[in-house]
Formats: sequence, C-alpha cells, structure tokens
Amino acid sequence: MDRKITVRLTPLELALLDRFAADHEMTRSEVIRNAVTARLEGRI
Amino acid sequence: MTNLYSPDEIKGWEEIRPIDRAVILRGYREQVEAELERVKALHDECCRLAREADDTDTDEWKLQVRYASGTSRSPDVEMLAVEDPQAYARLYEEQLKKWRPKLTKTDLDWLYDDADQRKDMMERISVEHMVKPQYILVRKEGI
Repeated sequence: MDRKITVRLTPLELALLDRFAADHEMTRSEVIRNAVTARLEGRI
Repeated sequence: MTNLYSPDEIKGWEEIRPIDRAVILRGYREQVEAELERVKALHDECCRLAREADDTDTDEWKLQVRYASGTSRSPDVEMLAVEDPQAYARLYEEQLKKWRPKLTKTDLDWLYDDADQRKDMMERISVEHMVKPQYILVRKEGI
C-alpha cells in the first residue's frame, strides 16, 4: 500500500494548519495524521 | 546584562601580535553570537506573549506572524539507503573520494539526472520539519 496521501488545501486552510502546527510544535503531516486518526476512531 | 566590549578599541590593540589579536577576536565573536541568540530568544518570547495577549499593535509598529519550515524539506541519507540501496552505495563511494559524508540536493541531481525520478525520490527521502512561527515587527508606513 502506498504510504503517502495527498491533501489539497486552500491557502486559508494551509495558514490555519500552519498556525495549529506551530502552536503545538508539530509538522504539517503530524497534524493531518492525527486528524485523520481521530476521525477514523470517531473522536471528531 | 552582558559585558561585551569591542577589543579593537582598547589601548595598544595594534601592538598585540596579529595571532593573539585573532584569538581575542575569535573569543569576542563567540560572545557576540551568543548574545545575538539570547536577544533573539527574548525578542521571540516577547512577540509570542504579545500575540497571545492579542496586543500586537503600537503607534509605529505592528507584529506579523509567519509560519516557516513546514514546507522546507531536506534529503535524508538514511532514507536513501532504505529506498534506493544502489544509489546510496554510489553516493557513498563518490563521497568517500570527496570526504563529504552527507546528502544534498546537488547529490540528488547527480544521482537522478532524470527529472521525474528525481522529484519522486525527493518526496521519498525528504525530512519534514516542524512548523515554527516567525515573528516580524513591521514599521507602519507613513511614519
């Protein structure tokens, strides 16, 4: 299975993602991975 | 407070042997660099507090926050060993001759001269950095 997924974001979404990542000292990928995991587990 | 002084302003500076002057200047430069780091950390912390308090505007200055490093990627030599052992072996052999044990974008150009393949390999062996805020104080125009 391919390990990579591509996420397309608008500039505003990207800015919000970067702000969240910076506030939590994470990479962009970590934020997205956590969000996807949380959604899959039904937490959000 | 630091006790930085400029060694070339002391009396008799020109009479010191050049090698000793060089050693003194080296020590001075280390102190200046450490002080720069300290002041930058203080500056960034103040900017962070200002943003947290949502107090980012003065008569002459305003605070802008940008986010950096999230997209900056650098090749990871260990990933190259995993993804393409043959290319890793070639790189290793080449670099042994140059005494330069690292992987750069230039090395990737050399290893993967096919443009499409190079882009693909860059994706596979890149390292993603943490997103960090950059605080920039911007002077307001017309003042």
